[in-house]
Amino acid sequence: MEVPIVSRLMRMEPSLAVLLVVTIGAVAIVGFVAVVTTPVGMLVGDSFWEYVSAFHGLGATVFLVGSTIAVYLAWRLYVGEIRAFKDLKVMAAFSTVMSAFTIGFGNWIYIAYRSTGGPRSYFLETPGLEAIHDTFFEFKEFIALFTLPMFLVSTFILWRYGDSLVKSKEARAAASVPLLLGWVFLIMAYTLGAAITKLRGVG
Amino acid sequence: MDVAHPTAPTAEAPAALKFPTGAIVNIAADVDNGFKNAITLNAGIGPYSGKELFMFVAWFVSWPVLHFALRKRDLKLKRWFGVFLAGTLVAVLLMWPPIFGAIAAAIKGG
Repeated sequence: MEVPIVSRLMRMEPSLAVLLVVTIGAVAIVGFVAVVTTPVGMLVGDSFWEYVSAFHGLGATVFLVGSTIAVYLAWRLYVGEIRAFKDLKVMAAFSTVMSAFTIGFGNWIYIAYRSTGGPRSYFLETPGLEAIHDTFFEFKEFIALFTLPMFLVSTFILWRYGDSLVKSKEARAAASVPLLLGWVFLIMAYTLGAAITKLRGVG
Repeated sequence: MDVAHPTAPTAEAPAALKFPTGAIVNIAADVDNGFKNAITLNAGIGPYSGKELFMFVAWFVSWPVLHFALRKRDLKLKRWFGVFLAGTLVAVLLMWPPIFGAIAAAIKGG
């Protein structure tokens, strides 16, 4: 008997099929064990903003994982040795979607960050911590926005021109370098976001 | 090659254009409180809401405009890709608060 999902997975390129199954399986197993055996909710917190913050952080983490795979494949494209071009197209598109998702939740959580008694006022009112907001958070909030056009422009070029890009050195660079830049911007925003949240999270 | 991928530079140019737009709006908001208030489209998010809107509008409007204006021209991909990289680097520097803060202070002082 042919099971549609299984037969579809079997027809996919091995790397993508394996990645999909391993990711979903690992998340399902770890999530199930954690929910059944521990009070996982305590890790998130019990306020509304803590849940929004959790989605922002999780989105950024999934974005980081997906875009790291995309960057590796983009490097293979750049040096003209890519074999999984289809995977690159999919991971670039996925990263673009995750960038938009994470920016959306970032805008939402920013309301709590700026609210009275929120992290922003804490940093500005605590002597010695003003630079956390004035320099690092200000930079983070803008550099995070840079990820979306970088990933979208690569996705557009990859999908618009397909594997005809492989034949041209300049075209390979035009498709892959924005992806690498977007990833660097993501690392900056991710690192700063994690460090700032460690100092003072939303409550 | 340039003919084979004629719209690749027009896809990257708007992305590069978005960044300086953001830097200019950012500096203008630092210089002028009236402008800062005017671009506060959402009280919760503050002036960041307007800055973000300016950046995304500049990006999304310039993309189709440049696409239709340049799609039939034989652009030198290497040259325009260099312009894109240089523009991105300048924009990142202009987003670094000590730099845009110093520019805003110099404009205010002048």
